[in-house]
Amino acid sequence: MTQLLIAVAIVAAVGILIYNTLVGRRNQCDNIFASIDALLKKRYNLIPNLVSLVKESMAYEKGLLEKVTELRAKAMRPDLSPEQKIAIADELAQPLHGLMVAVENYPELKASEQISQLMRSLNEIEEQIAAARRAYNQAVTDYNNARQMFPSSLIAGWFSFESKPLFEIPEEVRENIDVQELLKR
Amino acid sequence: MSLSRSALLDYYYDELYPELVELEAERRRILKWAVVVALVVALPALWLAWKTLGNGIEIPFWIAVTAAGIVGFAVNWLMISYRRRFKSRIFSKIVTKIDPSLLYLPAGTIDRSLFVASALFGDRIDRFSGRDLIRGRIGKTPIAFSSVKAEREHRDARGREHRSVIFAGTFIVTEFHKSFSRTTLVVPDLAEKYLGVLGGWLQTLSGKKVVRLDHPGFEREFVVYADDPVEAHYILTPIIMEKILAIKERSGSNIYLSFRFDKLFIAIENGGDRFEPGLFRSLLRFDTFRGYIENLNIILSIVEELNLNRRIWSKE
Repeated sequence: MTQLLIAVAIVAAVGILIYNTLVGRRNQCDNIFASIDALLKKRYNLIPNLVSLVKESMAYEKGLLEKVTELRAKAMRPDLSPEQKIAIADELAQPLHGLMVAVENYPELKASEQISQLMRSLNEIEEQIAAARRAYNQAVTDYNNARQMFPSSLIAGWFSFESKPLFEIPEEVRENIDVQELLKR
Repeated sequence: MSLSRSALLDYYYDELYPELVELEAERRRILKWAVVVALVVALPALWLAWKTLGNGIEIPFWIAVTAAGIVGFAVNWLMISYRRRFKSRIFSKIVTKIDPSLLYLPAGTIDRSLFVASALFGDRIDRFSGRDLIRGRIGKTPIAFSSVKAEREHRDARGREHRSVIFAGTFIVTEFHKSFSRTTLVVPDLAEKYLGVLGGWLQTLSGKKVVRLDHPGFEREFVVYADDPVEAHYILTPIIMEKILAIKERSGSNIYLSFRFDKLFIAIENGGDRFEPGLFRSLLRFDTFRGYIENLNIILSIVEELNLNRRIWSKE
């Protein structure tokens, strides 16, 4: 009887340990996703500054400016799902990089200390976003592995730990724009 | 490195030659004296050892150890002025020639507090010594490095005191080009390298936060401990991980990196005597010169390799 009790206690302890590990990994994914969200917000906060600083000089890039402003407004809506947030962020990356590249065609913009500082900040945030996405993907891989491997797959099944999707990292996000190189040209 | 290797070679053999010849003569003199001392000590030691051989191996063994100790001490004493002259007249000139902004202090060392601040080898260090401090600026990046030896004392079950070396090698303090606020440590991954998956599991038991990165080659060689996984990924981009692997490959030693207090600390476990002149190695030989330049180059090129002068982020 005692032996049976000990065996049950061991199985229960192992079960609790596995359950806690799964919860820990799932929370890790959510935490990292929250930091992606925070970084995206930081990026969105810089956009109005950039647009207001360059719009006078960049009359020819009106389409690009409008696209960036429109996507930013879309991204600021409060009712977005995580997937939608990422999809809009990806959509915005291209015109935003286009805008950053376009700045180099305007000597008066290139010379502005304020714009150069803004570009550095944007560049930093772009790289932080890329890093956070890599960290998120790694956390999701660890979580999904734990979900699928035996014996944790049993616990994951009983307590319905849902699988999480990986984020694809678009090429523009992976390759950081070297603003200084651009401004040198 | 701002000067090409051939320009340095010309400098070494043209401008430093008279000094090198003088030092070479001194080295030969010391070598002769070393042989004399060795003979004077070895002959009576051999005789004594022969006499005591009948009583077991222990006494002859201790005689041999004592004789070797006496010879070692004498050679070291004979080498003091030679080493000093080599460092002040040859090595310091090579360093200044490579980059005039670099300052070489033969007796200087990286501060113990900086070594501790790296958090790479714990904070209990009982003995700390160093030499050959070089500091200056490469482009926008300040750099300082020296040979360092850190030891820890402990007692065994019988109460005898022992000393173990926790690090002996080159310790570098420089600045990273991105801002960060937490701690990220990159250390050789001995557990996973030798124990595989089991090693990876053991790491998680150490209590520190292990961060896995998306570079299998890097993961095989290193383990990363970090307070913030996003910051660790921000610092360790795929390209930086490649470069760290390349630095490890070039140095041929274990390397440790710490990103802490807005600084980058790098420890190369190479024994720490890379800039010492040897008694059995002529300074006129090409490979001797190449050894010094190669060792300096590995350290100074880290700034370039890790792109530390690239300031496109908010850090000026």
